[in-house]
This record gives sequence, C-alpha cells and structure tokens, in this order.
Amino acid sequence: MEVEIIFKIAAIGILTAVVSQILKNSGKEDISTLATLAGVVIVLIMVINLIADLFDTIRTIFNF
Amino acid sequence: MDSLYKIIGVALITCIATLVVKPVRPDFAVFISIVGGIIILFMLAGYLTEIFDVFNQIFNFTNVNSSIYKIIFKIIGVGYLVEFTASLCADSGNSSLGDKVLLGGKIIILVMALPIVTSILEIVMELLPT
Amino acid sequence: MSGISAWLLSITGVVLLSVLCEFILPEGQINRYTRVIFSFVTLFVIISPLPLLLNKEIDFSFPNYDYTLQEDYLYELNLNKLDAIQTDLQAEIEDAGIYNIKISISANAYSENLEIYSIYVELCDISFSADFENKNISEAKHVIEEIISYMPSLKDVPISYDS
Repeated sequence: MEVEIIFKIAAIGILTAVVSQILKNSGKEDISTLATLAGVVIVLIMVINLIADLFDTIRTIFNF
Repeated sequence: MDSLYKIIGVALITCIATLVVKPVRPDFAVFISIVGGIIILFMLAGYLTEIFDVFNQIFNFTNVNSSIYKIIFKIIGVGYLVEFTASLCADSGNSSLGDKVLLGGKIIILVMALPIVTSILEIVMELLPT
Repeated sequence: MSGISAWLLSITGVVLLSVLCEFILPEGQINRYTRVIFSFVTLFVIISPLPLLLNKEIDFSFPNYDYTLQEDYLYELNLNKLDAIQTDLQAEIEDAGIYNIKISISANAYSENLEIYSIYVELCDISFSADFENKNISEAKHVIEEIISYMPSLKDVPISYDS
C-alpha cells in the first residue's frame, strides 16, 4: 500500500504535464487546462482519502 | 529495525519524487510531500498503540484519577493532530493558516484542562479558614 | 501508611508519564504548552490528599463532554447501518424476482448495537419477474421470509405485512 501512492501521484503529475504540453502545442489550450484540473482533482481525492484514514486511526488510538 | 528502514526508505523516495516532479509541475510536489508524511505517521501508529498500552498499565498501577488520564490522552491527541495540520499548511504555503490552527488547538487544550485548574483552586479554598 | 504510599505512588506515576509524554510529543510550539498543562496536573495530584487530611469533602468529578457528541455520532452510525441493511434486503428480494415492495425497518438508533424491533413489508404494488414460479402473495411472503432469515442482523425479528 504504502509507497505505491507516492509513485502514482508522481506518475499522474508527469502524465498531466505531458498531456497538457501536447494539447497546448496542438492548439487546444482550454482542453489542456481541463486535463490539468482533472489530474489535480484525482490526486486531491487520493490525498483526502489518505488524510481521512489517518484521522480515523488517530481517533481510534486516542479513543475519542 | 524493519520499520526504521521502511521509514527512511519512504522519506528518501518522497524527496526524490518531489525533486523529479518539481520542475514539471510544482504543485504536485506539495502533494507528494504531504502523502509521504502521512505514510510515515501511519507506520508509527502501531508503536503508539503499544506505548499507550504501557501508559494504561502505569495509570492503573499508580491509581491516578481516571478522569485525569482521559484528559491527558485527549490533550496528547489534540497536540498531534494540530501539529500535523499546522505543518501541512506550512508546506502548502499558508503558514499563517497553520498558526491559526495552532491557536485553535491551544485554546481547546486549555478548555479541556480548565477543570483541573478549578479543582486546584477549590482545594486551596477549602484549606483556607473561612 | 498505605494512604501516604498510594499518594507517593500516584505522584511518581504522573511525573513519569509527563516525562514520557514530552518524549513522544517533540513538536515545537505545542510542547511548551503541554508542559504547562502537565505541571498543573502534577500540582493537582500533589495537592489532592490534603482535604482528606483535614476531613473535608472535595468532589473530584470532572465534567464529561463526550456524552452528547457520542450520541449524535452513534445516531448517524446507526442510521447508516439501517440504510445499508434496507438497501441490501431490497436488492436481494429483487434478485429473487419480486419487484415493487417497500420494506421499512424500525429500530432503536440510540442503542450501541442497533436493536431492530420489527420489519414492515408493503406488498400492495407487488409484481413478479417472468421466471418466478407460483406468482401469488403467500409464495412471495415465503421467499421474503427466507431471505430475511439469511441475514444475521435480522434474525428473529417479527415481520408484519400490510395485506
């Protein structure tokens, strides 16, 4: 589980950058912005899930 | 010892990943460092449970008031969460927001500890001749 | 003498714990703050046997803020559980070939393990799928009761129908 998320996020980051460059060069700049935004949202969802897990674990440890 | 190597490994991988991604997309580098920190904290959760079990034993052994024990636990928990959130805010560039979260944590800790202070005052008042 | 040794033991315990807590909370600004709070706690533990020495009563009950919070949380948790059970039941009955029935489960949402009082099944708009044998109400009731008896959380719960 643990280290794969870092690789996934790095891969999505590089992928969105590459896709955005390609789209910009072929003239469709608005789609490129959308693609970047989509990448950010996906990564955000993963990170927020992880943070929610962390908070739940802390809550169980401290018996809140 | 295994966990130590895992923690060091995760930290190194996070640093390398941030270096790789930063020139391409600087905002993702922040995500990666946040996630690396969370993973390390997850690995520590098991050890923390053991430590708190020992704390439990010490408390039962030395018969301290059980409500004090709950208050101390909650204070430690709030301390952890608040500190983690503040460093997360600082990493993403809003260190002033992190300061405000710290302020919130301090006030909540104070509120939880107020009964102890009032109890001390009550004891002292009972000792004074009226 | 046992009172004094208990008191000394509790002081030792609290001091030991404060030191250990300072180890595991090595993070900047909160550390100074928790040190202050732990000093208050130690002071409290040191002072606490004094009213007993002077034969006065002190009431050491600290207000418990967790009850209301846990009730709301428990209620939400139980509501989610109930919804999940209802959707599961509905899906299984539809898989068995019976459509358009409404199931309502009445339960106590404030209990720790969700106590289910009864299940009410409305069969007025009932319709069957093509390959359901014996398309009548009693066969439908039979199948529904069988499905309900397979769910562990709904065992032995009285079922009532509207027809």
